[in-house]
Amino acid sequence: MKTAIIAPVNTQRESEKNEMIDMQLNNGLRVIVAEDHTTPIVAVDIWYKVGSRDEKPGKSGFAHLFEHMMFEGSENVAKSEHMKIINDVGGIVNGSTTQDRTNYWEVVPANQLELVLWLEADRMRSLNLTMENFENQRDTVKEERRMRVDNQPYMRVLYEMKDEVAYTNFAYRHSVIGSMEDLDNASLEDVRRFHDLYYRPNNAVMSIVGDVEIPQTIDLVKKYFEEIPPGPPVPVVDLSEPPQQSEKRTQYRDPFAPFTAYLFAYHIPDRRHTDYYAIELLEKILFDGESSRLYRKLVEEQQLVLHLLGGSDGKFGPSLFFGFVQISPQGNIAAVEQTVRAELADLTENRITDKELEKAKNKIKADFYLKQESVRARADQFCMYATVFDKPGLLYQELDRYLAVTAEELREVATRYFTPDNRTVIEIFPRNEHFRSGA
Amino acid sequence: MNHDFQNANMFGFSALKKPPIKERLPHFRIPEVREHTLPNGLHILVIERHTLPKVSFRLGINLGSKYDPAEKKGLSELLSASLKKGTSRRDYQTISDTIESVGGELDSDVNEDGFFVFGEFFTDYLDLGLELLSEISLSPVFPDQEVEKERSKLIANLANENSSPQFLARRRMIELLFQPHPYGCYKTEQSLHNISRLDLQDFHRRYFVPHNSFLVFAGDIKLEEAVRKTEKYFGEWKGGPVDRPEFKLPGVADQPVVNVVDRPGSEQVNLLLGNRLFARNHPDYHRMLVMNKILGGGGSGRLFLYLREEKGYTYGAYSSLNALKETGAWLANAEVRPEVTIDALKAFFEKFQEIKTEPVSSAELKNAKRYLVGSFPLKNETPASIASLLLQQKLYGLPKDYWQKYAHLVDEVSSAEVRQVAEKYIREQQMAVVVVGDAKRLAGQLEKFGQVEVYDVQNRPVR
Repeated sequence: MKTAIIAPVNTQRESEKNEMIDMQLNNGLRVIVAEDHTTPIVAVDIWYKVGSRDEKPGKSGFAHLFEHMMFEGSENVAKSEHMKIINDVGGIVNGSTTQDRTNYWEVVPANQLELVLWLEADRMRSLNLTMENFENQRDTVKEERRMRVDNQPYMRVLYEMKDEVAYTNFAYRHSVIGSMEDLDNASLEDVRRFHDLYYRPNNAVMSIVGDVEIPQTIDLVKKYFEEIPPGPPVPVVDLSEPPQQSEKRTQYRDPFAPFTAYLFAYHIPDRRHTDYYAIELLEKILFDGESSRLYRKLVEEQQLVLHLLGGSDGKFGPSLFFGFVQISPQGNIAAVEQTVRAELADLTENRITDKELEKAKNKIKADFYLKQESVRARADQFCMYATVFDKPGLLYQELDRYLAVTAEELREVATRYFTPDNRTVIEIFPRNEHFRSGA
Repeated sequence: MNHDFQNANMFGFSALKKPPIKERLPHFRIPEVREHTLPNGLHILVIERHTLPKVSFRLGINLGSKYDPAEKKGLSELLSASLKKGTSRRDYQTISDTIESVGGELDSDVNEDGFFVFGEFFTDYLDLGLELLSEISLSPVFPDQEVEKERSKLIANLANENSSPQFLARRRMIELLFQPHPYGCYKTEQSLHNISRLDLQDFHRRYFVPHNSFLVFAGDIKLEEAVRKTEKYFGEWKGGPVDRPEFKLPGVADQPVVNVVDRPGSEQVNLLLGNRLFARNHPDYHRMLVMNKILGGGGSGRLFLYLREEKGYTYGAYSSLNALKETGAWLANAEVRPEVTIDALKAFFEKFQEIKTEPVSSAELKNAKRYLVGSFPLKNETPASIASLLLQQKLYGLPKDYWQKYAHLVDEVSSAEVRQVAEKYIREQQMAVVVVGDAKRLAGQLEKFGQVEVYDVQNRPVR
C-alpha cells in the first residue's frame, strides 16, 4: 500500500505578496483594500455589525427584513435600481443576514469601483422608505421563509429548532428569518430607527479586493464615505449563555421528511476562544469526507445513515457543535445514538494518531486556500477577521494556530465539551405518509 | 457627536446625483489554453495559474446518462457512485484515506451528456492525485458489496427527491418536454434494481476510452509537465472510437398542458413553465441568451421586477435556458403562496406577451449584453471554472475559439432578433405548465392554461 508521506505543503502565496491596507476613516468606517491583478474585476463587501442577535422579542426576522429594504431605494437611487445598475454594468450583487452581521456585496468589472462606492454610500447615508415598498418586501420575505424553511423537509429543525431548544438567551435562540407573526409586527418606523442606529459608518467594515490601486481606491472611498456622519455607539448585546445543567431532548414530527433523522448539539465557546482551533479539527475528524469517522462508521460500515453533516455552526458568540444525520430504512435512532456516543467518547479517552491529526490539518489547509480563491471570498474573510478579531490580516496567519494544535489538546477539548449535560438532542420523525420512504 | 453637526453634514454632502458609470468594459481575455493530444487519442488542455500552490484537473468523458438503457436508467449514476469504491490495486477505504490525508479531493459526476472525474491537489501531491485518477478511471473493480451499498443509497434518495418541490416540478417538466427521448426519462426503484455488476463493467469498458476524452488541468502546472504526467498515468489507456446509440427527437406538443403534482401539506406552489428549445450549438443560442436575460435573468429581469418587486407574489421569478447537446428547454419558474397561483401564472403570460410584441429599448438591450459580457470574467474567475468552460466547448462540439468569440456573438444581437426569438421560442400554445402544491388548495381555474392532469409525489397519474 502506498500512503503519501505527509509533509507540510508549500505555503508560499502570491496573494500574500500583493499589497493590502487596513485603515479607518474619521467617521469610524473601517476600510480594507487588497490588490489582486489576476482578473480585471473587483469585489466590494460591506459588513454592518448587526444581525438577528440584536433583535428584541416580538421583532424576530427584522434584521433580515431590513436587509431587503436596503435594495428598495435611497436618496439618489430608485426602488430596485441598485441591483439593476450593478447588473447593467456586468456586475453581480447580493446581501445576506446572519445572527451576527449583515453584509452587502458586489463584484464588478474593475473600472466600476466608483459606481459601487457611490451606490453603497448613498444607502448608508439615507434610505427612501415608503409603506408600499415595505409591505411588498414583507410579502417577499414571507415567501422566502416558506421557500427555505416551511416547505422543505428538515429545515425547520436545522434553521430554527436547534437553536430554540439549545439556547436560553433570546439573542441566539430565535431564527434569522423570524416568525410570520413577528414579520407582521414590524413597522416602517422600526426600519428608520434601525438604519439610524446600526447603519452608520462606525458600525461597518468595508473591504475591497481586486484589480485596483490602493491610493486611488482610498481617494474614492474618502470622496464618497468621509462625510457620512457617524452614529451613537451601538448597544452591546448580552450573548452570554448560562452553562447547561442537563441534557435537553425533544421530538419533532416533520411534515415533509421521508426518513427519521437525529440531531445532536453541544454548546461550545465563541469564535475567538482558543479552543476553537481544536474544535474545528474535531469537525474535520468526525464529519469531513468519506474517511471521516462518523461517515465511515455510520454510512459505510453500519449503513445506518444516508446523509450526515455537522461541525461548528458558525456563530461569532457562544456556538453549537452539532451533527445531523438522516437515518436509513434499516437504521434507527438508538443504534445511531450509540455509535455517535462511542465515537465522541473515543475522542475524549484516546489521543488520535499523528497520521489522523495531519489529515485533519491538511483539510484545514485546503479550506484555507479555497477561502482565498476568489476576490469575493477574500473580501468576505477580511470583513470577518476585522469584525471578530479586529485584525483583518489574520486571514494569512490563522492557519498557524490550527497547525499548532496537538493530539493531547484535541483530547482535552473533546473532554471539555462532549459531556452528557451539555448535550441537546432532537429526534425527527416523518409526519406524512406521502413522503415516508417506500410510501 | 452633536446632532446639529450631523445634520449640517448631511445637507452639505456633495455627492453626485447620478451614478458614475463607466461606459467601457475592461479588456478581458480567456486565459491562454495550451493543448496536446497523446498518441492514444486523449486530449490534454492546460490553463496555467500559479497564484496558489494547487492544481485542479477534470477528466471529461463523452458518456452521458442519455446512454443508460431505458430499463436500466441510473446506470451511469451508479457507475459514478461506484468508481471510487475499489480498484485492482486499492480498496475503497485505502483510496479515501489516501486522497484525504493530503488534503486532496477526487470525485465524479455525470449529467445528461457527460461524465466527469475531477479533483484538486496541492502541487506537491499532484502525482498522487493523478495516479488515483488514473486508477479509479481505468481499473475500477466494482466490488459487489460496495455496488449494493451505492444502489441502496440511490434508491433511498429517490424518497428524498420526492420530498423536494423543486425536484417534483422538474421531473414532470422533463417528461413533458422530452419523452420518449432519454433526456425525458428518470430513474426509478425498478430501473436501479435492473442494473447488474456486469452492466457496470460493460458500460465502463465501452465508453471509458481515450478517444473523445479530455483531461483539463488548471492551476499551478505547465503544459510540458502535464503532458509528461499524463503520459505516465494514462499512456497505456487504450480503446478506439465508440459506437453510440442515436436518438430521435420527439415532436413538440400541439397544445398547452397543465400538470399538477399534488404535494399534500405544501405551504407554497411551485410554478414551472417551459417550451422545448434547441441544442447548445444552435445559431439562435446567443439571441435567446440576450432575450432571456431581459425577460427573466436574475434580480434585474422583467419577471423578477414584476412578480416580486411589484406584486410581492414570490421571493424570486426567473427564466433560464437549458440547452443540452441534442435538444433543450426554455424554462420559467417562481414559488408563490397558493392564493395567488392564478394571478402569478397570468403575470408570467403577460410578460411573455410583452417581450414577443413590444420592441426592447436600446438601453435595455445594451444593458443585457453588458451584463452577459461583463459578468463573464467574474463568473469564471477560478481555474476550475475555466476548466469547466473548456470541457463544455469540447463536449458540446462548439468551435475551438468559441469562448474567445463569445463576447462578440452576444454583442451582435439586435433588438429585432430579441423579438424574433421570443416569438419563435416562447410558444403559449405549446406551453407546458407544472404546478406543484397541495391540490386541495389549488383553485379550479387552471384549465384555462391547458388540459389539466394530476400526479402524486411518486409520479403516478391520479385521475
